[in-house]
Amino acid sequence: MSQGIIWSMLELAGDKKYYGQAGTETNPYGIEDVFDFCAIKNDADKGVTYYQLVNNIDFNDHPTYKNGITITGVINANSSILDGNGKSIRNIVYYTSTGSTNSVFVLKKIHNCNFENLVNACGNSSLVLFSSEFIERCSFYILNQNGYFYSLFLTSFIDCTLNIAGVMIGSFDLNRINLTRCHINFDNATSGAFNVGSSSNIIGNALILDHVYFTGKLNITSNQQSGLNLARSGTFKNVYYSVNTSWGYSSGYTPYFQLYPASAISFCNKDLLNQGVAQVNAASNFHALTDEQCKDTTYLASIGFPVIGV
Amino acid sequence: MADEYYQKAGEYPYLPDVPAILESSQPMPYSFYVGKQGKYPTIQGIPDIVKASSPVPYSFYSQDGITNNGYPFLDLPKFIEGLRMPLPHIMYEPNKAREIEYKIVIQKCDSNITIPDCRIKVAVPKYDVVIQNEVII
Repeated sequence: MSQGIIWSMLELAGDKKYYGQAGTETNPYGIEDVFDFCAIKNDADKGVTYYQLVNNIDFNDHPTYKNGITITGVINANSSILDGNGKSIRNIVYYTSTGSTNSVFVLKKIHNCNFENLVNACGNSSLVLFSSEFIERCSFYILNQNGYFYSLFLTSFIDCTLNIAGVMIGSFDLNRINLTRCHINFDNATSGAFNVGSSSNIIGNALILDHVYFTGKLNITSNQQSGLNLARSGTFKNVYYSVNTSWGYSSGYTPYFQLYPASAISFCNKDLLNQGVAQVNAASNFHALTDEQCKDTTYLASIGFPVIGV
Repeated sequence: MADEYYQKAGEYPYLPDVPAILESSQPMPYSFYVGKQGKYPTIQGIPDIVKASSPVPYSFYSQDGITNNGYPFLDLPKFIEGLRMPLPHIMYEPNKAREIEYKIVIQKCDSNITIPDCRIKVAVPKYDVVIQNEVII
């Protein structure tokens, strides 16, 4: 059977073989469309293999996945390295209602790629959507539709932007990832809670955040009596949280925003915690600043935050 | 890559090497209401067509503070079929508006179930947004 016939059969089955090249770092396979992208799974046993997006790819073009992905292992190629080439992967929609700890996509590395309209509708507490050695210089627009966020990724991000919108159930939780020089922006997002585990409300558990900043607007709907805590565990270096945060709570409680010691100077904008938070408690190397102080280069430099004016 | 933040006067620090936030991250929130009328929930003020050139995130909120064990309105989609379905197909297309039709279907509602009044909040990006034909169902 000729290779062309085999590829035609794969295409009929929903997978198209990417074209040409050698799959090496200097001569990567070209990914033309969503079928090429999904065909990466066929190379799982090839060892380290390189791919590069030639076009923007759109999961709405896939006859099955356009309606949402409900299975794991669409790609399981942990030796594959994807260069997004500055292009976009659009409209990945993930639905599931059953327990799963497997990933939809597993790649070794992803870099220089934009993920637009990544829809997280997964009512599952153990999903990992992307799992890689690291993701570098990528941007994400994540639209949560009553999905759990906290296990959405299991990886390290370097020089990435994560824009988070919609409704997360459970909690917003970053306990499994490392972030270096990243920006997390809450796009008027809503989270059921802001915690790790059932008894402590923390952001940061067994993770490293190094030069990370949080901005935007986050609506927390949980009815918690204990504090909302930042950096209770994990390593925080030069992190700041300047998020317009609202918080649902019952009357009679005195919720507070508790900062824990950071490894390098970090700060929180206490003026933006203006809804439902009675007080902000600073900690060693973690300052609670006014909005004016957060925007003052001279002041930030005076407390040791690594900022220069431009 | 930067190991220092940069800052302009009156702005928050930023890391210049981090990719810029997508333009679609600028929401313009609209609020719609779901109330009770008889034993069926009623929906007011939801536009049947929204044109947007950006992804449209939406959120469910409790109007009266009642939530489902701290989670926001997991049950609501059971009563509003179709509300969530058009949204995954909204994609970001710069300079190209796209019509989104909201098809609201009220399913059978068990009168023994307490349905808290709630608010559906739809955050619509501010770019190229046209709200047409506000409807009351």
